[in-house]
Amino acid sequence: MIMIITALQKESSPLIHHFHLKKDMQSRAFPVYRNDTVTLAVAGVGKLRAAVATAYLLSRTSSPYKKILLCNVGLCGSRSTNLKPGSICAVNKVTDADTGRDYYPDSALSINGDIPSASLLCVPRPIRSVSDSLFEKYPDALLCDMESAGIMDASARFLQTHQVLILKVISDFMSPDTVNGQTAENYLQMNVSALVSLIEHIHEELCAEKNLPEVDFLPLIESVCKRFLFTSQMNRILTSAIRRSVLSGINPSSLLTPFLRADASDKRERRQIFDQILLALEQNFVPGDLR
Amino acid sequence: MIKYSSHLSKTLFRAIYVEKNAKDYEITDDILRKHAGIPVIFIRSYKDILNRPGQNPARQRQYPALILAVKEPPYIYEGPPVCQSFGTDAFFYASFLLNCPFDCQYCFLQGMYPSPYCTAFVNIPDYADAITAEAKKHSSMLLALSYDTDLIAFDSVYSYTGALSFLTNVPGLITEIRTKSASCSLYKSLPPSEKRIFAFSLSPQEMIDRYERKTPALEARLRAARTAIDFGHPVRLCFDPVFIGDFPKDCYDTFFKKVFSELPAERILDVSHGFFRMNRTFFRRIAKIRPDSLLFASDYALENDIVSYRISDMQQIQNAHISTLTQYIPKEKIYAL
Repeated sequence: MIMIITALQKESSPLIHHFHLKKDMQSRAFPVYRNDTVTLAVAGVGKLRAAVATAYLLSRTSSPYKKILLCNVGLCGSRSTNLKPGSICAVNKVTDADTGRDYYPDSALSINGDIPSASLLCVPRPIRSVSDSLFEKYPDALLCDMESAGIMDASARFLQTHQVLILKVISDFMSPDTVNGQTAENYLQMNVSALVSLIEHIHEELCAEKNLPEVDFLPLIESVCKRFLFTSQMNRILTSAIRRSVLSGINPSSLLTPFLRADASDKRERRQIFDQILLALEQNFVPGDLR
Repeated sequence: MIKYSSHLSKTLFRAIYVEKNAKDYEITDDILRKHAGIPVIFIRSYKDILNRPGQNPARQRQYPALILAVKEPPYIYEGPPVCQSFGTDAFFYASFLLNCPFDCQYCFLQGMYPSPYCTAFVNIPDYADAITAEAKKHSSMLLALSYDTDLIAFDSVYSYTGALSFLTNVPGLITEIRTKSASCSLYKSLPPSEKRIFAFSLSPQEMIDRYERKTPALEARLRAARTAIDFGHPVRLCFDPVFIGDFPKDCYDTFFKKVFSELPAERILDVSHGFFRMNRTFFRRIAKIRPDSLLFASDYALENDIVSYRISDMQQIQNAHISTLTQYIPKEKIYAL
């Protein structure tokens, strides 16, 4: 699942159009747009709204967290003449100007090609000068926005550091008043293909991550544990033994299935079955009376 | 003169995190100059990166980064009892690098730090003072420079081995640099000293293929060891960690035979032998982050909080290995754990 947070409706329009997203009429807290693989929320301006929108999307999803890529796409100001209006930049460090806290989205390191990456200062108010006093304390910050620190902070409760991607399109050299809604939309529109391609590439890598070796056998483990009322500790031991079998190249299902026909009337018999299962997995052999 | 291999350096890291206090050191300048074009991210402390919660080590190994930092005291640490001191009065180790450029599946470092990013400390003079002061307290002191990393493998980024050459002049101090690297040029350029031992970690090729990702093949390591011997450097061989498992029975015999057919046994300083062993906490952490590893899914014995094979199994195999090794090298030169 790809989740996108934008601040303004104008920033989201090119993405909504590109992904053919439909408005979620159930969502009341924020305007949310979605299809089967992409969800987009328009958070509004400021890190607090961005944090709430992030938590809102992440706490309402049914997708497994490990497969989620959370992206913040939006405009930002630049202090560097090398990062010109209209160009894309990935953010490798976010500093919250209010708290001084730093966040490091690892996903910026996995971006290939010519997209530059830079440090960003998340500020509580619009900055109107490259020599604003806020930058004295954070001289290495080349970009500036008002949302990313909220997204980083909220997402850390749900996701790992490589699952958050902050992608910015530079709109101005710290003169936000020169940027109107139409300019914002145009900048996003002209970069939408590049943005989408970056997002999809990183998301594909995320989805390609290996599942646990025992993942295909989890329903079977569940059935066995349920049938013999195994405790959670026994469940854990059994799952480890199944993992060991799978990694040793053994298919544990032929070893486990016969036990589903066995009966155990009391705790002692259930313990015996448990020991027999572990022995069968260790020796890759099912006792004759269960075959 | 410190040399670099630009080929490796250019592809090794996706970003360099630089601690603000590390900015003004010569090593930092050297490394950044050599890695021009790689994004530089300034940080307050290396721990802000290395110890962050919610990192994904597998992904970070895929897209590695380097951290340059200033080490706070202590600069050297007393060696743990699970390691040999090779007959010296005191055994210490220094960590110039945290983490290792290689990716060995069995490495305890994965349990020690939440991130595999290499952290290089740039304040070598502080280390030098601490090492000299400690060496004065002992009649003989072994200092492992590459105890929890592979300094020679890092030579392509920065040559700590070259920069630390002066340690051969510290009275009573013997340094050991352990490596799996196949680089031969270092041994040709450094003047040999009996006070600097190069220790080569060797394993059968089957184990290298299975557990030692990104490391050179056995052939290449033997070539490097042979070069070190030929250029007069003291060479130690480390058969550590030794594994017990579903390998061909004669796997280690064939391996020992190969090693001593390629290297002149009479010119080997000594040999160490030890089994796969690990602190229980580290073992549990690694089992979590490496769910696809049979090594960490297997059952072991637990003795004094150390996870390893059963003592009886180790004893039996060690006796057999030592019996084979004594065909090549005197028993008093074999240090077994």
